[in-house]
Amino acid sequence: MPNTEYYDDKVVRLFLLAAAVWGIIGMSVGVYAAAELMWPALNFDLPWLTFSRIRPDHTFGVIFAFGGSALMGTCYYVVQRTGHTRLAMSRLAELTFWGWQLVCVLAMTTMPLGITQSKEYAEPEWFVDILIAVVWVSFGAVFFATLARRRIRHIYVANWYYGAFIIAVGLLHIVNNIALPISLTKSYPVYSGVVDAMVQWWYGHNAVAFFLTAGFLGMMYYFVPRQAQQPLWSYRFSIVNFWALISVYMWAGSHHLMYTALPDWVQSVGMAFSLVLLMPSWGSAANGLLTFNGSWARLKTDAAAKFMVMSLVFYAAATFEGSMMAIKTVNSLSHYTDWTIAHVHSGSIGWVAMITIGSLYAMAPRALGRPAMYSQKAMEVHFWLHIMGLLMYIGSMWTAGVTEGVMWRATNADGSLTYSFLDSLIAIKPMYLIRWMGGLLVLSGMVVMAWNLWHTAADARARIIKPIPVPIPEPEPDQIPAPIPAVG
Amino acid sequence: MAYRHFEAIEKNAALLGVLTAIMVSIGGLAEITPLFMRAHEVSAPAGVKPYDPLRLAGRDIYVREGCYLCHSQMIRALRAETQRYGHYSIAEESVYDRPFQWGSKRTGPDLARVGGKYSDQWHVLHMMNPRQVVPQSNMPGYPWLAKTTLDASDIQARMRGLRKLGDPYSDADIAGAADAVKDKTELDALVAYLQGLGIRNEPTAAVPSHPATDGGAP
Amino acid sequence: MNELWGHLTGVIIVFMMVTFIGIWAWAWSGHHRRAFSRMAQLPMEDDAPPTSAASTAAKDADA
Repeated sequence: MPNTEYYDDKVVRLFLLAAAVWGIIGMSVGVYAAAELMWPALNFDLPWLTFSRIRPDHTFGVIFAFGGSALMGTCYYVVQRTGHTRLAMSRLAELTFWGWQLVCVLAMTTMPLGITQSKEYAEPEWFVDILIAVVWVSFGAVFFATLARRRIRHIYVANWYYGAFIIAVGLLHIVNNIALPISLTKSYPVYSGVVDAMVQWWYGHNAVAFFLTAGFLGMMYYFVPRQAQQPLWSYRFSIVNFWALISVYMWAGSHHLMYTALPDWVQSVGMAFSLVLLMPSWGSAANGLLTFNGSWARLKTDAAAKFMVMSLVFYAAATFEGSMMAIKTVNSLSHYTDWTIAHVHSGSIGWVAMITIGSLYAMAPRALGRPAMYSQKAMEVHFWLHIMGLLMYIGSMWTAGVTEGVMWRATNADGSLTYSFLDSLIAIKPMYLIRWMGGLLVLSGMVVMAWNLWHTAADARARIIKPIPVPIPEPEPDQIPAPIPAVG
Repeated sequence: MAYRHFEAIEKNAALLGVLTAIMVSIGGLAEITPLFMRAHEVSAPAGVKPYDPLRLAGRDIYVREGCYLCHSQMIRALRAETQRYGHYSIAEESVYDRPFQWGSKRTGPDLARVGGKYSDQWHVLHMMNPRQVVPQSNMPGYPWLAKTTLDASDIQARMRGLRKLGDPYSDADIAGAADAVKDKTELDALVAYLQGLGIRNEPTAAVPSHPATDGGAP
Repeated sequence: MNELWGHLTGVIIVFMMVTFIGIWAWAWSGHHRRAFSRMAQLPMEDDAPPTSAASTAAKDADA
C-alpha cells in the first residue's frame, strides 16, 4: 500500500553530527579566548587570532552553529513524531542543513578577518545576513508545511515553542540587520546612536528569549517527558506559560541599557517586565522538573535524565538571577563586569548546553537505529566533567564580577576613588585562570560526547540503518476527518 | 501522497503562527516606536559634526577590530562612573555612530571620554604592545595597524554611503578626504578617533536634558 | 509622558490582563481535558527510551 511512510531522519542525523562538531569548535575558540585574557601574547600579533576578533567566533559558534544545528535537528525530529507524519519538503529540509552549515562556515571565517558589523551577537556582515534570512525562511517553510500535514489534530506544545522561535528569530534578525552595504565587506546600519542601541538590544535580548529560551524549551517539552516516560506534569500549564513567555519577553530588552542615555521610562518598563518574566520562566522550569516526579530513580542510571534535570535547575537559577540583575540598583553594580559573563554562562553552559546534550543523548540512539548510546559510562563522565567545569566557570566569574563592581565604586573617606581600573584587573586575574580551566573541562566533556556519538553512529556510517515507519494513529472521535487507516 | 483532509487543520497552524507574531511584536513596537519618533529631535545637536575622514576611518577600524567587546563607550549616570570617566554620556553624542559602540563589558576601561587623556605617542606605543606602557595590561597588541596605509577612495565611498543615510557630508568634505587620509596609516586613524572621543562629539552647549540619577549606593 | 500615552498604557495593561485570564480559562476548561491528555502522551509514543538494562545489553553485544 502506498500510504506507508517513514520518518525522515537523515537530515536529523546530519544536524546531530553538525551540532557535535560545532560544539567542539565553538567551545575551543572560547577556551582559547579565555586563555588570551590571561596571557595576552597568545595572539602572536596575528590579527585573526586576537581576542577581539575571535570572541564573536566563540559566541556565534556556540549559539548559532552548535545551538542552531541542535535546534533545527531536534525540531525536525519532534515535529515529525508529534504530528505522526513525515517531514514535508525533504529536499528543502536537506537544503536548510547545507545552507546553515554554509552560513556558519562563512560567518566563522569572515569575522576573524575583520569582516564584521560589530553589533553584539549579530556580527556577520550583510552578505551572510542575507543567506541567514534565506535559510531561516526555508526552515520555517519546512516546519510549518510539516505541521500542516500532521495526522494529530492538536499541535503539541513543543511545536508552539519551535514555531515562536522560528517566527521571532526571523523577525529580529531582519529588523536588526537592515544596513546599507558600502562594499562586499563593509556596511553601515540604517540606525544610529540611541536608536541603534535600542534595536540592537531588542534583538540581543530576544535572541536570548527566542533562540536560547523558546527554542530550547521546545526541546525540553518533548524530550523531558520522553525521557521521564511520563506525560508533562501539567500540559495546560505549559500553554499558559507559552503565551505569557512570548508576550512578556519582548518588553524586557531595555534592561541591558540601564543608566545609559536611553530614556528613563524605557528603562523602567524593561525592569518591570523583567520581574514579571520570572513567572513564566519558573513555570516552565517547574513543569519540567515535576514531570520527573515519580521517576526520580531513573536519575541514578540515566545520564541523559541527569543532564535534563540539572539543565532545568540552572534554567530556574539563571532566570532568577537575570530578573534580579534587571533591578536598577543591582544592575548598577553588575553591569559591565564579569558577573554578566557568569550569568550568560550559567544560562548557556547550564541551561542551553545541558538540555541540548540531554536531548541529543535521548534522540541519538533512536535516530541512529540503536537501542542505546554506545557507552553509558562515557555519558556519566561527560556529565561530571560538564558540571565541574560549569561550577568552576560561574563560581570564578561571579567572584570576579562582584570584585570588579565593588572596586569600581569604592571611595575613600574624602570621596575620591579608592582603586584604579588596573587594580581591579590585577585582583581578578586568578579568577580568569579558574574560568579557563572550567571551560577546558566543559570542552573535554564535549569531546567525550562526540566520541560516544561516533560509535553510536556505527550503523549510520555503514549505511545499514533502517528507516522508522510513521505510526498511523488510532481513530479519535475528535479528529476531523478520520485518520488514514493503519496498514499491515 | 495526498492528504485531502488537512486543509482545515492547516488553518489552525497558521493562526498559531499569526498570533505568535502579534504577541511577539507588541513589546518591541511599544518601546522602539517612541524612540524612532524622538530620533528626529536628537539628531541635530549644536556643534557636533559628522566624523571627519581620518576619524571616520579610525572609527571603522575600531569597529573592525571589535574593541567594543572589552571597552564600553557609555558612562552611566552614576557617581562612581562620572568620577572615574567624566560627565555621563548623553544621547546626542552618538548620533553619528553607525553602529553604536556603547559596549556591554569592561575588560578594559570606558573610552567615551578618553580623548586628550593620553598623548598620541602613548597611544601608538600602547597599540603596538600595551605592556610597553601598562605592564599589567591584558590587552592584545595591534601592531599590524601601523603597517597598512588608508585607501582614500574607500573612505570616500563610505562617506557617500553615510550621506545617503542622512549624515550631512558636503561634496567638499568628500573631495577633501583624499588629502586628509593621504599617507596615513590605520594606526594614525585609530589614534585620531580615540583622541576625539568625548571632545569632538560633545555638543557645544552641553546642557543635559535630565539630571544625573544617583544609583542609590555610592 | 503625555496624557494620551498614559491612557494607552492603561488600555494595553487591561488588554493583556484580559488575554492572560482568558488563556487560563481556556486552558482549564473541562472541554479540552481529553484532548490535552491525549497530547501529553505523544512524547512517549516514539519508542521505549533506553533503560539501563537495555543499554548494558547493547554494550555487551558491542564488546
